[in-house]
Amino acid sequence: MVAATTTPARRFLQTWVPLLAIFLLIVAEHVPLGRDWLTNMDIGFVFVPMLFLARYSEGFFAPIAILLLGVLKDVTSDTPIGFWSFLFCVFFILVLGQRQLLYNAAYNTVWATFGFLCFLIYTVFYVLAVLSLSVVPSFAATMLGALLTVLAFPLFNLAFDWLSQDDDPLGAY
Amino acid sequence: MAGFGPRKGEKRLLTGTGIAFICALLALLLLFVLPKNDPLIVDLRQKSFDVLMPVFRMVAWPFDQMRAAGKNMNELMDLRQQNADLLAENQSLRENIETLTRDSALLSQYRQLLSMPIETEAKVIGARVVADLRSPFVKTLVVNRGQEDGVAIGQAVMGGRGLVGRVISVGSRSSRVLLATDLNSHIPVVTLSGNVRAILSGRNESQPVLTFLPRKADLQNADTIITSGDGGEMPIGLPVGKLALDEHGKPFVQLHDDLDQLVHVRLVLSEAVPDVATPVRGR
Repeated sequence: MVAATTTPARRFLQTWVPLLAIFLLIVAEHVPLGRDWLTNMDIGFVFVPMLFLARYSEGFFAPIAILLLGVLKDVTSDTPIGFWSFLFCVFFILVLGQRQLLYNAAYNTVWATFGFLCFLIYTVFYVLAVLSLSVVPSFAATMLGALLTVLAFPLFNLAFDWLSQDDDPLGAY
Repeated sequence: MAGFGPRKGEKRLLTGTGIAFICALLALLLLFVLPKNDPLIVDLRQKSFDVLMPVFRMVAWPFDQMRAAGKNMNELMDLRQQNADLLAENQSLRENIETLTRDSALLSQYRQLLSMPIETEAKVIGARVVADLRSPFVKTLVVNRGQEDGVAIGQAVMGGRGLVGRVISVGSRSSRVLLATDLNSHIPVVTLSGNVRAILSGRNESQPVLTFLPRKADLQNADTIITSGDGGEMPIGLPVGKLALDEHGKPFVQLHDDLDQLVHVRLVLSEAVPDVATPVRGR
Protein backbone atom coordinates (compact mmCIF):
# COMPACT_ATOMS: atom_id res chain seq x y z
CA MET A 1 0.00 0.00 0.00
CA VAL A 2 1.26 3.46 -0.86
CA ALA A 3 1.23 6.02 1.94
CA ALA A 4 -0.88 9.11 1.55
CA THR A 5 1.00 12.19 0.35
CA THR A 6 -1.34 14.74 1.91
CA THR A 7 0.72 17.08 4.04
CA PRO A 8 -0.44 17.85 7.60
CA ALA A 9 -0.94 21.50 6.63
CA ARG A 10 -3.18 20.56 3.72
CA ARG A 11 -5.06 18.08 5.89
CA PHE A 12 -5.61 20.85 8.42
CA LEU A 13 -7.02 23.09 5.67
CA GLN A 14 -9.15 20.25 4.30
CA THR A 15 -10.87 20.05 7.66
CA TRP A 16 -11.03 23.67 8.75
CA VAL A 17 -11.78 25.52 5.49
CA PRO A 18 -15.04 23.60 4.87
CA LEU A 19 -16.04 23.93 8.55
CA LEU A 20 -15.46 27.69 8.45
CA ALA A 21 -17.34 27.88 5.15
CA ILE A 22 -20.30 25.99 6.65
CA PHE A 23 -20.31 28.33 9.67
CA LEU A 24 -20.22 31.46 7.49
CA LEU A 25 -22.91 30.13 5.15
CA ILE A 26 -25.18 29.37 8.12
CA VAL A 27 -24.76 32.96 9.33
CA ALA A 28 -24.90 34.53 5.84
CA GLU A 29 -28.23 32.83 5.21
CA HIS A 30 -29.79 35.27 7.69
CA VAL A 31 -28.43 38.48 6.24
CA PRO A 32 -31.48 40.65 5.52
CA LEU A 33 -31.51 40.94 1.73
CA GLY A 34 -35.17 41.76 1.13
CA ARG A 35 -36.12 38.74 -0.94
CA ASP A 36 -39.42 37.25 0.20
CA TRP A 37 -39.59 34.53 -2.51
CA LEU A 38 -36.34 33.03 -1.20
CA THR A 39 -37.68 32.76 2.35
CA ASN A 40 -40.23 30.16 1.27
CA MET A 41 -37.53 27.61 0.52
CA ASP A 42 -34.32 26.41 2.11
CA ILE A 43 -31.32 26.50 -0.17
CA GLY A 44 -28.59 24.32 1.28
CA PHE A 45 -25.33 25.85 0.05
CA VAL A 46 -23.79 24.38 3.22
CA PHE A 47 -24.01 20.91 1.68
CA VAL A 48 -21.23 21.71 -0.83
CA PRO A 49 -18.47 22.26 1.79
CA MET A 50 -19.98 19.37 3.75
CA LEU A 51 -19.52 17.09 0.74
CA PHE A 52 -15.90 18.15 0.54
CA LEU A 53 -15.39 17.68 4.30
CA ALA A 54 -16.87 14.17 4.24
CA ARG A 55 -14.72 13.23 1.21
CA TYR A 56 -11.40 14.21 2.73
CA SER A 57 -11.66 14.40 6.51
CA GLU A 58 -10.56 11.68 8.85
CA GLY A 59 -10.94 10.94 12.51
CA PHE A 60 -13.79 11.67 14.89
CA PHE A 61 -13.67 15.43 14.81
CA ALA A 62 -15.56 16.08 11.55
CA PRO A 63 -18.85 14.27 12.41
CA ILE A 64 -18.96 15.88 15.85
CA ALA A 65 -18.29 19.30 14.32
CA ILE A 66 -21.07 18.66 11.79
CA LEU A 67 -23.48 17.84 14.62
CA LEU A 68 -22.54 21.06 16.44
CA LEU A 69 -22.92 23.14 13.27
CA GLY A 70 -26.32 21.53 12.80
CA VAL A 71 -27.27 22.66 16.30
CA LEU A 72 -26.07 26.17 15.40
CA LYS A 73 -28.25 26.09 12.27
CA ASP A 74 -31.20 24.94 14.40
CA VAL A 75 -30.63 27.75 16.87
CA THR A 76 -30.31 30.47 14.23
CA SER A 77 -33.10 29.14 11.99
CA ASP A 78 -35.65 28.83 14.78
CA THR A 79 -36.20 25.15 13.94
CA PRO A 80 -36.44 22.58 16.77
CA ILE A 81 -33.00 21.55 18.06
CA GLY A 82 -32.06 18.37 16.24
CA PHE A 83 -33.83 19.08 12.94
CA TRP A 84 -30.93 20.39 10.86
CA SER A 85 -28.40 18.53 13.03
CA PHE A 86 -29.99 15.25 11.96
CA LEU A 87 -30.09 16.25 8.29
CA PHE A 88 -26.45 17.37 8.36
CA CYS A 89 -25.38 14.07 9.98
CA VAL A 90 -27.42 11.99 7.50
CA PHE A 91 -25.89 13.88 4.54
CA PHE A 92 -22.43 13.36 6.05
CA ILE A 93 -23.06 9.61 6.42
CA LEU A 94 -24.40 9.39 2.85
CA VAL A 95 -21.27 11.05 1.47
CA LEU A 96 -19.05 8.79 3.60
CA GLY A 97 -20.79 5.86 1.94
CA GLN A 98 -19.80 7.24 -1.46
CA ARG A 99 -16.17 8.05 -0.66
CA GLN A 100 -14.78 5.23 -2.78
CA LEU A 101 -16.90 6.32 -5.73
CA LEU A 102 -16.17 10.03 -5.27
CA TYR A 103 -12.46 9.65 -4.77
CA ASN A 104 -10.66 10.67 -7.95
CA ALA A 105 -14.01 10.65 -9.78
CA ALA A 106 -14.63 12.92 -12.77
CA TYR A 107 -16.14 16.31 -12.01
CA ASN A 108 -19.49 15.40 -13.58
CA THR A 109 -19.71 12.22 -11.48
CA VAL A 110 -19.13 14.23 -8.29
CA TRP A 111 -21.76 16.76 -9.36
CA ALA A 112 -24.27 14.03 -10.26
CA THR A 113 -23.66 12.25 -6.93
CA PHE A 114 -24.08 15.54 -5.09
CA GLY A 115 -27.33 16.13 -6.96
CA PHE A 116 -28.66 12.70 -6.10
CA LEU A 117 -27.72 13.07 -2.43
CA CYS A 118 -29.22 16.56 -2.31
CA PHE A 119 -32.60 15.40 -3.61
CA LEU A 120 -32.46 12.49 -1.17
CA ILE A 121 -31.68 14.74 1.80
CA TYR A 122 -34.39 17.24 0.81
CA THR A 123 -36.89 14.37 0.68
CA VAL A 124 -35.80 13.43 4.21
CA PHE A 125 -36.14 17.15 5.09
CA TYR A 126 -39.74 17.15 3.89
CA VAL A 127 -40.66 13.91 5.68
CA LEU A 128 -38.99 15.09 8.89
CA ALA A 129 -40.83 18.43 8.70
CA VAL A 130 -44.15 16.61 8.29
CA LEU A 131 -43.35 14.37 11.27
CA SER A 132 -41.85 16.86 13.67
CA LEU A 133 -43.04 20.39 12.85
CA SER A 134 -46.41 22.06 13.04
CA VAL A 135 -45.76 23.79 9.70
CA VAL A 136 -45.60 21.62 6.60
CA PRO A 137 -43.49 23.19 3.85
CA SER A 138 -44.54 23.08 0.23
CA PHE A 139 -43.08 19.98 -1.46
CA ALA A 140 -42.52 21.92 -4.69
CA ALA A 141 -40.63 24.66 -2.83
CA THR A 142 -38.57 22.00 -1.05
CA MET A 143 -37.55 20.38 -4.33
CA LEU A 144 -36.86 23.80 -5.88
CA GLY A 145 -34.52 24.46 -2.94
CA ALA A 146 -32.75 21.17 -3.73
CA LEU A 147 -32.48 22.09 -7.41
CA LEU A 148 -30.99 25.52 -6.66
CA THR A 149 -28.52 23.88 -4.27
CA VAL A 150 -27.42 21.46 -6.99
CA LEU A 151 -27.12 24.28 -9.54
CA ALA A 152 -24.95 26.27 -7.14
CA PHE A 153 -22.49 23.38 -6.83
CA PRO A 154 -20.02 24.46 -9.57
CA LEU A 155 -19.68 27.93 -8.09
CA PHE A 156 -18.96 26.72 -4.55
CA ASN A 157 -16.88 23.77 -5.72
CA LEU A 158 -14.37 26.15 -7.35
CA ALA A 159 -13.43 27.39 -3.91
CA PHE A 160 -12.72 23.88 -2.59
CA ASP A 161 -11.23 22.20 -5.63
CA TRP A 162 -7.68 23.47 -5.06
CA LEU A 163 -7.64 21.92 -1.59
CA SER A 164 -8.00 18.40 -2.97
CA GLN A 165 -5.22 18.47 -5.56
CA ASP A 166 -2.39 17.05 -3.49
CA ASP A 167 -3.84 13.69 -2.57
CA ASP A 168 -2.49 10.31 -3.46
CA PRO A 169 -5.21 8.26 -5.17
CA LEU A 170 -3.96 5.02 -3.66
CA GLY A 171 -3.90 6.42 -0.09
CA ALA A 172 -4.81 4.24 2.86
CA TYR A 173 -7.62 2.35 1.19
CA MET B 1 -5.87 9.51 0.70
CA ALA B 2 -6.24 8.79 4.36
CA GLY B 3 -9.15 6.51 5.14
CA PHE B 4 -12.00 7.24 7.48
CA GLY B 5 -11.96 3.75 8.92
CA PRO B 6 -9.15 2.06 10.85
CA ARG B 7 -5.79 1.74 9.08
CA LYS B 8 -4.26 -1.65 8.48
CA GLY B 9 -3.10 -3.18 11.73
CA GLU B 10 -4.91 -0.50 13.75
CA LYS B 11 -7.76 -1.47 16.05
CA ARG B 12 -10.47 1.05 16.74
CA LEU B 13 -13.57 0.59 18.82
CA LEU B 14 -15.45 3.06 16.63
CA THR B 15 -14.85 4.34 13.10
CA GLY B 16 -15.62 7.85 11.94
CA THR B 17 -18.76 6.51 10.24
CA GLY B 18 -19.81 4.98 13.57
CA ILE B 19 -19.38 8.35 15.29
CA ALA B 20 -21.43 9.98 12.52
CA PHE B 21 -24.21 7.42 13.12
CA ILE B 22 -24.14 8.14 16.86
CA CYS B 23 -24.31 11.89 16.12
CA ALA B 24 -27.31 11.35 13.83
CA LEU B 25 -29.09 9.31 16.50
CA LEU B 26 -28.30 11.96 19.11
CA ALA B 27 -29.74 14.65 16.81
CA LEU B 28 -32.90 12.60 16.27
CA LEU B 29 -33.22 12.10 20.00
CA LEU B 30 -32.85 15.85 20.60
CA LEU B 31 -35.49 16.54 17.94
CA PHE B 32 -38.16 14.30 19.41
CA VAL B 33 -37.34 14.53 23.13
CA LEU B 34 -36.54 18.21 23.71
CA PRO B 35 -39.69 20.30 24.24
CA LYS B 36 -39.97 22.80 21.35
CA ASN B 37 -40.95 25.89 23.34
CA ASP B 38 -39.01 25.18 26.49
CA PRO B 39 -37.97 28.48 28.14
CA LEU B 40 -34.40 27.19 28.40
CA ILE B 41 -34.23 26.60 24.65
CA VAL B 42 -35.77 30.02 23.94
CA ASP B 43 -33.19 31.56 26.29
CA LEU B 44 -30.37 29.64 24.61
CA ARG B 45 -31.47 30.87 21.18
CA GLN B 46 -31.62 34.47 22.38
CA LYS B 47 -28.21 34.26 24.07
CA SER B 48 -26.70 32.80 20.92
CA PHE B 49 -28.03 35.79 18.96
CA ASP B 50 -26.40 38.11 21.51
CA VAL B 51 -23.11 36.30 20.91
CA LEU B 52 -23.49 36.00 17.13
CA MET B 53 -24.57 39.62 16.54
CA PRO B 54 -21.04 40.85 15.68
CA VAL B 55 -20.68 37.96 13.21
CA PHE B 56 -24.06 38.78 11.63
CA ARG B 57 -22.92 42.41 11.28
CA MET B 58 -19.58 41.39 9.79
CA VAL B 59 -21.15 39.06 7.22
CA ALA B 60 -23.86 41.61 6.36
CA TRP B 61 -21.36 44.45 5.85
CA PRO B 62 -20.58 43.84 2.15
CA PHE B 63 -24.29 43.37 1.38
CA ASP B 64 -25.11 46.59 3.24
CA GLN B 65 -22.47 48.48 1.26
CA MET B 66 -23.81 47.17 -2.04
CA ARG B 67 -27.38 48.03 -1.08
CA ALA B 68 -26.35 51.51 0.09
CA ALA B 69 -24.46 52.13 -3.15
CA GLY B 70 -27.46 51.04 -5.23
CA LYS B 71 -29.79 53.19 -3.16
CA ASN B 72 -27.51 56.21 -3.53
CA MET B 73 -27.43 55.81 -7.28
CA ASN B 74 -31.22 55.57 -7.46
CA GLU B 75 -31.68 58.58 -5.21
CA LEU B 76 -29.28 60.69 -7.25
CA MET B 77 -31.14 59.82 -10.41
CA ASP B 78 -34.54 60.66 -8.89
CA LEU B 79 -33.47 63.77 -6.98
CA ARG B 80 -35.50 66.29 -8.96
CA GLN B 81 -38.68 64.21 -8.87
CA GLN B 82 -38.22 63.47 -5.16
CA ASN B 83 -37.88 67.18 -4.41
CA ALA B 84 -41.13 67.95 -6.22
CA ASP B 85 -42.92 65.12 -4.39
CA LEU B 86 -41.60 66.25 -1.01
CA LEU B 87 -42.72 69.84 -1.61
CA ALA B 88 -46.22 68.63 -2.46
CA GLU B 89 -46.25 66.32 0.58
CA ASN B 90 -45.01 69.11 2.82
CA GLN B 91 -47.83 71.38 1.67
CA SER B 92 -50.38 68.66 2.33
CA LEU B 93 -48.93 67.90 5.77
CA ARG B 94 -48.99 71.58 6.72
CA GLU B 95 -52.70 71.66 5.96
CA ASN B 96 -53.24 68.51 8.05
CA ILE B 97 -51.43 69.94 11.08
CA GLU B 98 -54.12 72.55 11.64
CA THR B 99 -56.87 69.92 11.60
CA LEU B 100 -54.91 67.61 13.87
CA THR B 101 -54.14 70.36 16.39
CA ARG B 102 -57.82 71.22 16.62
CA ASP B 103 -58.84 67.54 16.89
CA SER B 104 -56.22 66.91 19.57
CA ALA B 105 -57.52 69.80 21.68
CA LEU B 106 -61.09 68.57 21.27
CA LEU B 107 -60.10 64.99 22.14
CA SER B 108 -58.36 66.15 25.28
CA GLN B 109 -61.52 68.05 26.33
CA TYR B 110 -63.76 65.03 25.61
CA ARG B 111 -61.46 62.76 27.62
CA GLN B 112 -61.71 65.12 30.57
CA LEU B 113 -65.50 65.27 30.26
CA LEU B 114 -65.72 61.45 30.20
CA SER B 115 -63.05 61.01 32.94
CA MET B 116 -61.18 58.64 30.67
CA PRO B 117 -57.62 57.71 31.53
CA ILE B 118 -54.97 59.09 29.24
CA GLU B 119 -53.05 56.46 27.30
CA THR B 120 -49.64 55.80 28.74
CA GLU B 121 -47.00 57.73 26.81
CA ALA B 122 -45.33 55.29 24.48
CA LYS B 123 -41.58 55.58 24.23
CA VAL B 124 -40.29 54.56 20.84
CA ILE B 125 -36.73 53.50 20.07
CA GLY B 126 -35.19 52.67 16.73
CA ALA B 127 -33.48 49.35 16.06
CA ARG B 128 -31.62 47.76 13.21
CA VAL B 129 -32.54 44.39 11.73
CA VAL B 130 -29.40 42.27 12.09
CA ALA B 131 -30.75 38.89 11.01
CA ASP B 132 -33.64 37.77 8.88
CA LEU B 133 -34.75 34.33 10.10
CA ARG B 134 -37.60 33.93 7.66
CA SER B 135 -37.87 30.36 6.37
CA PRO B 136 -40.72 28.04 5.35
CA PHE B 137 -41.28 27.39 9.08
CA VAL B 138 -40.95 30.72 10.85
CA LYS B 139 -41.15 34.42 10.07
CA THR B 140 -38.93 36.16 12.61
CA LEU B 141 -36.25 38.86 12.68
CA VAL B 142 -33.48 39.70 15.12
CA VAL B 143 -32.95 43.36 16.04
CA ASN B 144 -30.03 44.95 17.87
CA ARG B 145 -31.92 46.21 20.93
CA GLY B 146 -32.47 44.23 24.11
CA GLN B 147 -33.09 44.39 27.84
CA GLU B 148 -30.40 47.04 28.24
CA ASP B 149 -32.55 49.35 26.09
CA GLY B 150 -35.81 48.60 27.91
CA VAL B 151 -37.19 46.07 25.44
CA ALA B 152 -39.62 43.51 26.88
CA ILE B 153 -41.59 40.55 25.54
CA GLY B 154 -44.90 41.49 23.88
CA GLN B 155 -43.94 45.01 22.85
CA ALA B 156 -45.09 46.19 19.45
CA VAL B 157 -42.64 46.54 16.59
CA MET B 158 -43.32 49.10 13.87
CA GLY B 159 -41.80 49.55 10.44
CA GLY B 160 -41.73 52.97 8.80
CA ARG B 161 -45.50 53.10 8.33
CA GLY B 162 -47.19 50.53 10.52
CA LEU B 163 -47.08 47.52 12.81
CA VAL B 164 -44.93 44.63 11.61
CA GLY B 165 -44.90 42.32 14.62
CA ARG B 166 -44.09 41.95 18.29
CA VAL B 167 -41.15 41.01 20.49
CA ILE B 168 -41.13 37.33 21.50
CA SER B 169 -37.80 36.97 23.26
CA VAL B 170 -35.27 39.39 24.64
CA GLY B 171 -31.55 39.09 25.23
CA SER B 172 -29.30 41.66 26.80
CA ARG B 173 -28.41 43.29 23.47
CA SER B 174 -30.78 41.73 20.94
CA SER B 175 -34.42 40.75 20.59
CA ARG B 176 -36.36 38.41 18.38
CA VAL B 177 -39.41 39.79 16.57
CA LEU B 178 -42.29 37.56 15.49
CA LEU B 179 -43.62 39.06 12.26
CA ALA B 180 -47.37 39.54 11.83
CA THR B 181 -47.24 37.03 8.95
CA ASP B 182 -45.97 34.14 11.14
CA LEU B 183 -48.39 31.29 11.80
CA ASN B 184 -48.08 31.86 15.56
CA SER B 185 -48.77 35.60 15.40
CA HIS B 186 -52.16 36.73 16.76
CA ILE B 187 -52.70 40.46 17.36
CA PRO B 188 -55.98 42.08 18.48
CA VAL B 189 -57.07 44.70 15.96
CA VAL B 190 -60.08 46.80 15.07
CA THR B 191 -61.36 48.30 11.82
CA LEU B 192 -61.34 52.07 11.96
CA SER B 193 -64.62 52.98 10.31
CA GLY B 194 -66.64 49.82 11.04
CA ASN B 195 -65.28 49.40 14.60
CA VAL B 196 -65.20 45.62 14.08
CA ARG B 197 -62.88 43.80 16.47
CA ALA B 198 -60.88 40.85 15.20
CA ILE B 199 -57.60 39.02 15.54
CA LEU B 200 -54.89 39.59 12.98
CA SER B 201 -53.48 36.10 12.38
CA GLY B 202 -50.45 35.17 10.32
CA ARG B 203 -50.44 32.09 8.08
CA ASN B 204 -46.79 32.00 6.93
CA GLU B 205 -47.81 33.76 3.72
CA SER B 206 -47.19 37.28 2.53
CA GLN B 207 -50.31 38.79 4.13
CA PRO B 208 -52.06 38.05 7.45
CA VAL B 209 -55.80 37.39 7.72
CA LEU B 210 -58.55 38.54 10.08
CA THR B 211 -59.96 35.82 12.33
CA PHE B 212 -62.54 35.67 15.14
CA LEU B 213 -64.73 38.17 13.33
CA PRO B 214 -68.31 38.71 14.52
CA ARG B 215 -70.85 36.79 12.38
CA LYS B 216 -72.42 39.80 10.70
CA ALA B 217 -69.36 41.97 10.62
CA ASP B 218 -69.66 45.05 8.42
CA LEU B 219 -66.37 44.91 6.54
CA GLN B 220 -65.49 47.54 4.00
CA ASN B 221 -62.76 47.09 1.46
CA ALA B 222 -59.74 49.36 2.10
CA ASP B 223 -60.87 50.09 5.67
CA THR B 224 -57.94 51.02 7.91
CA ILE B 225 -56.88 48.42 10.49
CA ILE B 226 -55.39 49.57 13.79
CA THR B 227 -54.44 47.77 17.00
CA SER B 228 -57.32 47.50 19.46
CA GLY B 229 -55.13 47.34 22.56
CA ASP B 230 -57.11 44.35 23.87
CA GLY B 231 -55.02 42.30 26.25
CA GLY B 232 -53.05 45.37 27.29
CA GLU B 233 -49.78 44.38 25.63
CA MET B 234 -49.95 46.88 22.80
CA PRO B 235 -51.12 50.48 22.73
CA ILE B 236 -54.41 51.30 21.04
CA GLY B 237 -54.38 52.82 17.58
CA LEU B 238 -51.11 51.68 16.05
CA PRO B 239 -51.65 51.59 12.29
CA VAL B 240 -51.47 48.06 10.86
CA GLY B 241 -52.71 48.05 7.26
CA LYS B 242 -55.65 48.14 4.91
CA LEU B 243 -58.46 45.60 4.80
CA ALA B 244 -58.86 43.72 1.54
CA LEU B 245 -61.10 40.88 0.41
CA ASP B 246 -59.84 37.94 -1.62
CA GLU B 247 -61.73 36.34 -4.53
CA HIS B 248 -63.79 34.26 -2.06
CA GLY B 249 -64.69 37.33 -0.01
CA LYS B 250 -62.39 36.37 2.84
CA PRO B 251 -60.77 39.32 4.61
CA PHE B 252 -57.02 39.74 4.74
CA VAL B 253 -54.83 42.69 5.60
CA GLN B 254 -52.35 44.44 3.35
CA LEU B 255 -49.72 45.60 5.81
CA HIS B 256 -48.58 49.21 5.45
CA ASP B 257 -44.96 48.05 5.48
CA ASP B 258 -43.20 45.81 3.02
CA LEU B 259 -41.63 43.17 5.28
CA ASP B 260 -38.92 42.50 2.67
CA GLN B 261 -37.56 46.01 2.96
CA LEU B 262 -37.22 46.21 6.74
CA VAL B 263 -33.78 47.49 7.59
CA HIS B 264 -34.74 49.62 10.58
CA VAL B 265 -37.73 49.16 12.87
CA ARG B 266 -39.21 51.02 15.83
CA LEU B 267 -39.89 49.30 19.14
CA VAL B 268 -42.83 50.71 21.10
CA LEU B 269 -41.73 50.50 24.73
CA SER B 270 -45.16 51.15 26.18
CA GLU B 271 -46.32 49.89 29.53
CA ALA B 272 -49.64 48.09 29.87
CA VAL B 273 -52.58 50.42 29.32
CA PRO B 274 -54.50 51.04 32.57
CA ASP B 275 -58.02 49.67 32.76
CA VAL B 276 -60.66 52.23 31.77
CA ALA B 277 -62.70 51.43 34.89
CA THR B 278 -59.73 52.19 37.16
CA PRO B 279 -59.95 55.74 38.52
CA VAL B 280 -57.00 57.87 37.52
CA ARG B 281 -55.17 59.44 40.42
CA GLY B 282 -54.56 63.17 40.63
CA ARG B 283 -57.48 64.16 38.44
